[in-house]
Amino acid sequence: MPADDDIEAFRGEVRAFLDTRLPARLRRRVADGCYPSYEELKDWIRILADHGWSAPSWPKAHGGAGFTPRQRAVFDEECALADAPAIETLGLSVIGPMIITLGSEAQKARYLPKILTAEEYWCQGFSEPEAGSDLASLTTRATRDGDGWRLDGTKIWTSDAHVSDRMLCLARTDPEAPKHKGISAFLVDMRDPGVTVRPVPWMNGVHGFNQVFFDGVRLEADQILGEEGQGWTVAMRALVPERVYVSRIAENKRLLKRLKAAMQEPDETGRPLAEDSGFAARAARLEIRLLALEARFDQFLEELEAGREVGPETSLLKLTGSRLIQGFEELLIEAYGPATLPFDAERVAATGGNLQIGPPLAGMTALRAFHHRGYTIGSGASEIQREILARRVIGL
Amino acid sequence: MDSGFQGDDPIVAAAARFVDRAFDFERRARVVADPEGEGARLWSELGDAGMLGLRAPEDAGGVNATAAQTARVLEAFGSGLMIAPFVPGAVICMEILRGSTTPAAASLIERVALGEARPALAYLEPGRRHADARFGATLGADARISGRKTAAWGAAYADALVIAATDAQGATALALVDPAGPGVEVQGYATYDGGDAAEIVLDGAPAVEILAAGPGAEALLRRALDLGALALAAEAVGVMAQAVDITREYLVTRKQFGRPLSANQALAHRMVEIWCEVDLSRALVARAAHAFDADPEGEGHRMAAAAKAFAAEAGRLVGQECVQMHGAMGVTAEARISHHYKRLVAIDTVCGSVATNLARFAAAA
Repeated sequence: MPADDDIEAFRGEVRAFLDTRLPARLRRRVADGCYPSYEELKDWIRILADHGWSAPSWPKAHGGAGFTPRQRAVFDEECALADAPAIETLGLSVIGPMIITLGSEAQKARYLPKILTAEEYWCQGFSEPEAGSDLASLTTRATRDGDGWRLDGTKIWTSDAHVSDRMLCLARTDPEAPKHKGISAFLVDMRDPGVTVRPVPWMNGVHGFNQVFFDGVRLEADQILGEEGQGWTVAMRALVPERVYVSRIAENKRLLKRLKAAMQEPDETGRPLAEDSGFAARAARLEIRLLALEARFDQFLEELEAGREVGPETSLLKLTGSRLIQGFEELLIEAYGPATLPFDAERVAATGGNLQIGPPLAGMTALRAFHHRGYTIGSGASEIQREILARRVIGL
Repeated sequence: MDSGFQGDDPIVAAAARFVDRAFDFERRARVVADPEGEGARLWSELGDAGMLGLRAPEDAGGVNATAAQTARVLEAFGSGLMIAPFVPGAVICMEILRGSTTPAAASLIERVALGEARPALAYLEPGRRHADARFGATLGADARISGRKTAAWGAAYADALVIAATDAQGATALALVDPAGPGVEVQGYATYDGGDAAEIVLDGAPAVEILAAGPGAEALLRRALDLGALALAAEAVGVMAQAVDITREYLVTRKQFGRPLSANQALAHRMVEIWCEVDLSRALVARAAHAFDADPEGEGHRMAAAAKAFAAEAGRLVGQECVQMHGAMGVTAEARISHHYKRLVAIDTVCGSVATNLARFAAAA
């Protein structure tokens, strides 16, 4: 572990970078809880990439920042507290690292540089209408066709598919093999003939999810990632590199900061909510839980810094961190009350002046909270995390 | 399952060994049945093993352990469901005695470390549930104390009492009183977790020594109770971890409807919930203990409140769930799990309940 002085110096460097390079308009939008556009996000990724920081955890040899686990945690935290947008693109967080580990040299050269600069956006085709938590029962199939394959089937709940250039797609290559064994991973070009995308808006009105259809999409021999039949290993590996960061410590800290600000707003009696001992106790409970989560997270970081593997016990982090986000947002909705009602909050906020119904953030609070119900569902639902802990860690 | 207190630290290892060797469930039952005889023997064994000098300075024959080490020792004691009045005597009173510059304190520190004395703190009063308020008990200019103390934890068999009172200047004072001396009436009683407490009436009882007075006394009392809260949170982690382990064992062994109880997701997932609470509590307690070592009055105070609130609330949940999952057996006196549960409930009530510590945390933030 680097000395505390080193890490504080690094923190200063990140702060200075954010002070000068984070565009003011983007910062304002994130602070107000608005969704930045994809163009705004791509611009930000390019600014990060210019500084060598767009892929915090990738090794330097592949164009990543090569941060240590602790530096990565500090980087995330400073970005969140400065109201920089969270960079959760699947290319940078999941698919890039998989290509680094499993891809051919040609694949690395072809795909990685464009992920780093957001020139190409990626989505992840795992879930299907009949294969959610039971991912291994997926039925999208890649049929042998000369030296390549032909892809048929459908993927659903696919984030960002409508703005993506490529997809990492799991498909069955051997229908005869046992469930987990006949799956392979492919790198699909979303602009190829036979790919269609249907929007599946979230309950907050935002176009986040999609359903993707493959109708005889041609896959060349160099579009497979890893070996044929290795898809399940690829899928499981997808969850490993980010395992500890799913605790969402930085995002939780940002919400805590917002809750504390909201508690200074007067309630219906004209007093700040912070003076309501009942509400203050509920907020304190969440703040303490965040301290506990962070203390546990730091123990895992120490393991990683010491070069040791961390195992399935990290499910604790995802389980706790995702619920905590929801807990903070529940209190935020309560704090802001009816000011959280607008459905098209950005338009209402843009009205401004005397028609502004509350602080800009208030209007987005519920819409964000609706989005984040998905935190306890995606990347292994809470029920799956509990199953992992029960059977593989606790020994039930 | 890793209970987390093993390690290279000799004093932590010694605590774990002590529990292994000298304190099993049968011994515990004997101490409960005969607190004066068997309880006193256990106290002196703890002294012989060097445990009671955990927080005593080295020149007084102590270990001078950090709060971090103290927490790990208490977790080990919690795992064994230790019932000696270790926290009130060897942690809270020891902290007050260390903060006093009087000769009486110095001599008492040595005797406690050897297991020859067993002090207790009496600060609560009827109608005053925590130390944040002014005390009704008075310490006159003649060094005599009058007043009523309630729920003095670990005081039934104590041979030295530290009394918190308001002095003639209206400030908090901490005075040493002989429970067998004139003007002191101690009504001891057993508590449901296997320990003891006492109601104390003081009627012109002479102070053997004024340990601390003025603003220093108030700060000293607060610090001692914070350390006590931290120690209890650590003990709760040990008790909880053991309770979860016992329940896990029960669920994989006990069969109903032709399969082990653990095969039911409804039970397995509830086990995960409480296991997570224990794991998070342990990490938070460790962090709080480090904060206490670095800055006892500031961040240490805030984090002690956080750790106690979190671990005590977790303790109640863990205790309740473990009893529930044991079925009818869980509510019996012969089931070990019921003793874990009762200890966890008791821990919540002393050194500030969850509500009190949440308020302290919020006020300190």
